[in-house]
Amino acid sequence: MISPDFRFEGFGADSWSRLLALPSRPGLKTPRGRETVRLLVIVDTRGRVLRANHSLQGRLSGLGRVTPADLPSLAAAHGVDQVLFVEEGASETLAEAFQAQVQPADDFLDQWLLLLRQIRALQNDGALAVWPDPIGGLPVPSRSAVLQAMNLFVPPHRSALLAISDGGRPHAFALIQRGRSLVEGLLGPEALPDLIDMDLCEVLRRPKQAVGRLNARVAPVHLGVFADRRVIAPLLSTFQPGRWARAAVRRELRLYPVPPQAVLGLAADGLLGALPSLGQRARGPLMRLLAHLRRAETVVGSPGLPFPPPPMDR
Amino acid sequence: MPLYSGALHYFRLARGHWRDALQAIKDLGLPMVETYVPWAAHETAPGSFDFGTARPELDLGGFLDLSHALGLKVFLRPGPHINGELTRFGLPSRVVHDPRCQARSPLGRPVYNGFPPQMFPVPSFASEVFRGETAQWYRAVAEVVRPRVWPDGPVVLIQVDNEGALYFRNGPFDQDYRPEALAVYHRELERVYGDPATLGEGYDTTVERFSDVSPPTHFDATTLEALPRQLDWQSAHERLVQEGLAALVDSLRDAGLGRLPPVHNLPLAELAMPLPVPALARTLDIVGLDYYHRGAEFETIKRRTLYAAGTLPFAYAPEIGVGGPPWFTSLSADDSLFCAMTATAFGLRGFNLYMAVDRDRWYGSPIDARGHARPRAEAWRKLLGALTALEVPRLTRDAKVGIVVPQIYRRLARATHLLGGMVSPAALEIAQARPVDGCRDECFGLSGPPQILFWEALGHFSAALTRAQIPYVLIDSDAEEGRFACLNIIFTPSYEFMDNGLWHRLQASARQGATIYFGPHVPARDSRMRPADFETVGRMIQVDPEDAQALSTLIDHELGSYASPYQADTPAVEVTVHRAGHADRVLFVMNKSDEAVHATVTVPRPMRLRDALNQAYYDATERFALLLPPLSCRMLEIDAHRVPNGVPRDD
Repeated sequence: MISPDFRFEGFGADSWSRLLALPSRPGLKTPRGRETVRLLVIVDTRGRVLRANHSLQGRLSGLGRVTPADLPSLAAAHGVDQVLFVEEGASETLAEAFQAQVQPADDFLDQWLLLLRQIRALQNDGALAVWPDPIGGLPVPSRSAVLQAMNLFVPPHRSALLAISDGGRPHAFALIQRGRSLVEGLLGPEALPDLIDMDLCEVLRRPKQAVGRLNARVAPVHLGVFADRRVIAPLLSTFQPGRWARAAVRRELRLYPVPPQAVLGLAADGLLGALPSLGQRARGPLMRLLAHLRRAETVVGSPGLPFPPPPMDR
Repeated sequence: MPLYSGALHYFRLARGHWRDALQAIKDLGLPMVETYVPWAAHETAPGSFDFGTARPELDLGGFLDLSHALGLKVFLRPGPHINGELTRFGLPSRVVHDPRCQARSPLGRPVYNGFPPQMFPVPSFASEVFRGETAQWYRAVAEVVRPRVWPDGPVVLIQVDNEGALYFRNGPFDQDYRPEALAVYHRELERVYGDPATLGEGYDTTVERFSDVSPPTHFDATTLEALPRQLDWQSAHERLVQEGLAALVDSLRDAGLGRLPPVHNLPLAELAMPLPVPALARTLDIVGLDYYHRGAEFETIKRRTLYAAGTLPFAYAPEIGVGGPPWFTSLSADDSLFCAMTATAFGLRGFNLYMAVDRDRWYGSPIDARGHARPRAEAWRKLLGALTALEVPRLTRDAKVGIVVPQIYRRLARATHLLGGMVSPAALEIAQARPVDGCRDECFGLSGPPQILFWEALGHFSAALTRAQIPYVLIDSDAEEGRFACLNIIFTPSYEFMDNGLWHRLQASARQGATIYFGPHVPARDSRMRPADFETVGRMIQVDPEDAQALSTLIDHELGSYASPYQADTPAVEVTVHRAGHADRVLFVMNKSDEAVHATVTVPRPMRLRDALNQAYYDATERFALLLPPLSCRMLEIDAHRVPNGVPRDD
């Protein structure tokens, strides 16, 4: 979530594309590997269909009346993966409600949370629905909850570094800078060398030194992620319990510095991943993970972490 | 001078890098630099401006002088809206938050634009206070610019505002309900109806004064007779944009910059927006289209360029995306090059590389912020060198066939859009859907929904002509008469009602010998839904655009002589030929598929063709073969004076 003073620089077309391509985009393909088929249904206030559009078949007619409760059966009947249901006038209601409450001083986070609350209100009124709804029923987070979540990765006035290699060569880089509350900067690979007097190969070879210079010259680094793209891409694309922890234990994924929240997160991930086999191999991945974490270094962004540093620059 | 330029934001670069960056633009082969002039950055207090006194990077005069010294012309864009990924689109906070400047929603609330990094209330195109503030800003800019206008200085072009699509809040009932904007609506009613009684007759009510009429705040028409009220509101939006831009042109003139040709750029999805393109072209000297397209959007690049080529005096792109902002579709370097070449292939005759020089909130420029060329700059240098050497801006692409885009059906499509302004028709098109995908599927007593069918008909006509390899253009129904007079064959969607002005134009063309194919219906009502006589004259022939087989047969039998003499042997490939006088000069060969294609192109006579970018050549007696990578375009110089063995031809 970005601030009005957000800076974005240091990306060429290729380096930006590589960064965006790191996670595959699960929304575009179904698990069966084909394009997602969608159905848009727009109804009047009595549920009469004013427009139905199938992403493969075009306009559909003869749908009669539809309510949000009908979406699963509608999806099955028309062979679609997703259905979006909108009541006529919902967009205008959303706009008016937002415009009535937004304040001139609101930042982008305030504005988006307000918008999400209005969208949720429309969902509750049955004027807007999506099927399947992966976050249905979850409350819209508060501003402080979002900021707390951001604090896990990059607290105020700190930064986070992503340095991804491809067979040892520089691949994708990003330095995220947090201001007092929101993200104030996203710097790319062309901006980094000037900031720290190191080229990108050196950053990959000597992450500790790179982080040290960023600490001194830009903002204290709270979290640094160093990995090969073949390791990080599946981690970012899908969540499978234990994968992050396994990658860390095998040192395919190197976190430096590693904040306490990340340690806890990795431990939890390792625990989740190990649960099925805990009976047989109680000292398996969990113990290796703990051993690894004990070697992690206490840095500016993670005060009190009681582990020594990993031997990353050796 | 060819209208090729590159964008550089002086206010975002360290002043010490200006010279290298400008030189790098020149080294790319660009004769002109383009820059925005950001109001919010220069304004220090209401009515007070810093043009370099306090902050050296704001020295606009110094920047213009340096450009002049380096031999570059300047295309200046002082807003007031400039976007440029600046917070609030470069407008001062005090202005956008001044209620007297703001556009108003149906409930009288400010209308918010949703762009990052902060949503903001958009100004009203009709607000007198906003216009006054803008006039003051223009006067300040003019103080710096006036002595530097060509020939005394480098400034040759000036743009008013930016992508004048009501700040991207152009849903049918988003705005503008503030009193000055309603006055525009009432003037539009007066223009259309002449007197209140006639309006009352049309609306089936009593009207004593135009100013008594309230605009619709939602779509409530269920019958054909109730549609004009909705269409008039959409028409008023177009007038609002036109009057707003005209007022800015007047302010520029009042500020002493009247010698500069005014330009305006239209955003993506212009056909889905309340943009009266031909009317804007009459208000401004140059109206162009902005291009931000991935290679996979070949059909969109083609359609938009053919519309510009068929409708506007000069097909120009004030912005062709080289890279992009982080919050828009990611464009690769190959996407940008393919887009520029494809648009040129279909008739684009000038463009501004946006951005040529890197800056904050942008990626992918060919020149970095210190003025160093990035590796991809070489491809642009080669392309620009070839375009200049072959004098492509002077070439013509003959197209005697046109497809009409009727304004009235566009307006109805906007009026019947069901997803409001948060997901506007334009937003649908930008998201790779069709702008009519959110329209209500209602027929109003007609045989089908014209608001949807017209878009499909345009596609059917285009596909049939493309299959037959017949060069064509798209022409706005309100385009200048002269644009219609150039065409021998005209296709137009027509339903049970039509704008009689368009019908009269079609009749006039038919009387001059053109053949008009219209359909599927003979109109029986005019744009106010009154019964009217739509007489056919000359060769006006009814066709059904949805009958693909019949359409293909008709085109094969009747229009064979219009087919290009250069024919590709596969539907994955399209070719266009561009002429200098009567001589074929450049052939573009495009692979629009995402797979490599071995194509054979038939030529009308023996010739040598030389690739203008890599110097490879092909000798062709009747045809030549070439391998085209996925989504690629080749620009081939035609040398008809050399026979295939490379020997100069005797004649």
